[in-house]
Amino acid sequence: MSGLRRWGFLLSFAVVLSGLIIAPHVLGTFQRVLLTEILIWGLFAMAFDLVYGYTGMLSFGQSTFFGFGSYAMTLAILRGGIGLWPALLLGIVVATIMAALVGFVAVRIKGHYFVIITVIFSLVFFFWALNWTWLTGGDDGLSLKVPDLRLGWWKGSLYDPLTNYYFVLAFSVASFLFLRRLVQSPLGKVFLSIRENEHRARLIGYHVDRFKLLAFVIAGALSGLAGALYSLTLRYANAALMHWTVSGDAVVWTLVGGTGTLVGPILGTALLITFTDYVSAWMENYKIIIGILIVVVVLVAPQGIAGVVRQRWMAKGASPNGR
Amino acid sequence: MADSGPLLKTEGLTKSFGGLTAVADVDFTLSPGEVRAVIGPNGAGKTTFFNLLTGLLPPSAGRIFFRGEDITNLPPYRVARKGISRTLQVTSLFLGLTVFDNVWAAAQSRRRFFNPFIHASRLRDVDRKTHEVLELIGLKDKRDELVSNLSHGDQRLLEIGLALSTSPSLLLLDEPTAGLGPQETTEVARTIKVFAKGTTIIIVEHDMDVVMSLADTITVFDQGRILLEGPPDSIQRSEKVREVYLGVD
Repeated sequence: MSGLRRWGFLLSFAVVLSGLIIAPHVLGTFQRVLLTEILIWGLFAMAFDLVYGYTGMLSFGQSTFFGFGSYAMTLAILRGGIGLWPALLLGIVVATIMAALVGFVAVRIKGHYFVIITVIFSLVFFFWALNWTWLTGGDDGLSLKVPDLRLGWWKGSLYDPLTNYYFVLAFSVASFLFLRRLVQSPLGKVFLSIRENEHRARLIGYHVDRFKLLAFVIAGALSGLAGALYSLTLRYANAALMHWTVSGDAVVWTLVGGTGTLVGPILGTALLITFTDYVSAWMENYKIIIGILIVVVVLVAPQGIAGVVRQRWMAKGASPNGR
Repeated sequence: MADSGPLLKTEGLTKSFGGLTAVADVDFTLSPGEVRAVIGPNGAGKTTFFNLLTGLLPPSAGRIFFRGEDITNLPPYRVARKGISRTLQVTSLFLGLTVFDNVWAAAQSRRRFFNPFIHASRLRDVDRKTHEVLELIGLKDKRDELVSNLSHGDQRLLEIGLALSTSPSLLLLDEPTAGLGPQETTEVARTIKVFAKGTTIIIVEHDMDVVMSLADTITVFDQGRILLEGPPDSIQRSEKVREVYLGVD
C-alpha cells in the first residue's frame, strides 16, 4: 500500500513537474506571466496551509511576512546595493524574525481572538508601511532594478522571462517538497495532533505553544520567500502587499483547494487567479462570483477540491497515511 | 527514584472555586506498583483532584510530590513529561486522525527532538510502541479507521491507549467506563487488568464491580475530603461509605 502511494506520488509529481518545465515554451507571454504569479502565490498559500491546514491556526497575518520579505529584499538592493542572493536571504531572515515576534504574542491567544489579533497585526504593519513613505514608498511603492543572477560561473538575468520563470519554479518546487516532507515527519505529526486537539496534545506532553510558534515561523519564512520572489518578478513592492486581505486571498485559495493537503492550495490558487484574470476582464464585479463560489465550496465540499479527491482515494481502501 | 519512598504524595492539597472548596486539605500517598481506586459521590472532588495532579488547575494550597520531587504548579505538559499520564472522563482524542496516528502521536511525545526532515515511519521504536499499545487495547484491526468513525466503546479504549503509549510511571484513569454498556465495560476492565500488573494506577470509577476487581486499596472522597481509605472488602462493609452513597444521615 505504502509503496503504491509512493509511486503514485512520484509519478504525478514527475508529470506535473515536466509540464511546468515545458509550459513556458508552449504558453504565450500572458499565460506565462500568469503561471509565474500562480507559482509565487501558490507558495504563499502552501505556507498558510502549514499554519491553518496542518496546525489549526486561522491566521490572517501572513501578508505581514510576505510584505516584510518583499520590502527587506527590495530595500537591501535599492539602498544597500547588495547582490541578489544576499538580498533574497535577507528578505527571508527579516520575515522569519517578524513571524517570531508576531507569533510569540499570537500563539498564546486562543480561538477567534487569535484570528482577530493576526488581523490587527496585519493592519498595524500595513499602516506603518503606508505612512513611512520615505522608506517604503507607501501606496506608490518602490520600483526595483534587479541585480544579475549568479550561479557559480553562470550569470543570468531575471529580466529574461524564462530565467525568471525557472527561478520562481525552483523555489516553489523546493518549498513544496520541503513542506511535504515536513508534514509527514515526526514534527508534522505534532502539528497535526495540535490541530486536532490542542488540549489533549498538551496532556500527552507537548509544549503546544512552542510548536505552534515553530509552525508559524516556518510559514512566515516561506511567506517572506514568496514576497521576495514577487518583488523580483514584478520589480516592485508596495504597502498594499501587507494588507490583511492579501492573507485573506490565501485563506480563500486554500479553502477552495483543500486545507491540509498542500496540493490543494496550489490548485485553489491556480484556479482562482486564472478565473479572476479572465473574468475581471469583462466583468467589474467579478468578486461576487468568487464569493458565490466560496459559499458553494464550503457547503458542498468543505474539504475542498484536493480533499474530495483524497476522500475518493481513501474510500477505495487505501491507507490515508501511506503506512 | 527513591526505592522506598512513595511515588506520589500530596500534602494539604486544597482547591477552592470562590466559596466552594472542591478539594480540601487532602493528604494522599501512593506507593509504586499500587492500583488505587478513588470513589465517592458526584461532586466529591475526584476529577478536580486529578486536574490538580496533572497541572490543569493550580491548587489553592498544598503541595504535590512525584518521586519526591515537588511538581506543584508545573504546567500540564511538564507534568506529563515527568511520567504522569491521564485519561479524560469526556473522551478527548484526535478525531480527524486515524487510530494508528492517535497512538503514534502519543508514543513519540516523550522524545526531545522532532525531526522535520525524515518520514515519521522511520522512527522504529515509536512504531513498535504504537503496535504494542494497539495490540493491548485490541484496536489493531481498526488502525486505519478515522477515530471519528469509532464506536464509543472503542473510543474509550483508545482514550486509555493514548495515555498508555507515553509509557507513564503513573496512570490516572478518570472513569474509563463512563457511558459504556455492560459488555463494553467488561472489555475495558479486562484491558485495564492486563496492564495494571506493571503500572501504578489511580482509577476514578463508579462501577463498583470494576473497582473491586482492580483496586488494591480504595480511597473514598466526600465533599472534597478523604473520608476513608482501606482494602476493598473493608470499604465494602463500611457503614460510612454506605451513608455517603445513599445519603443516609
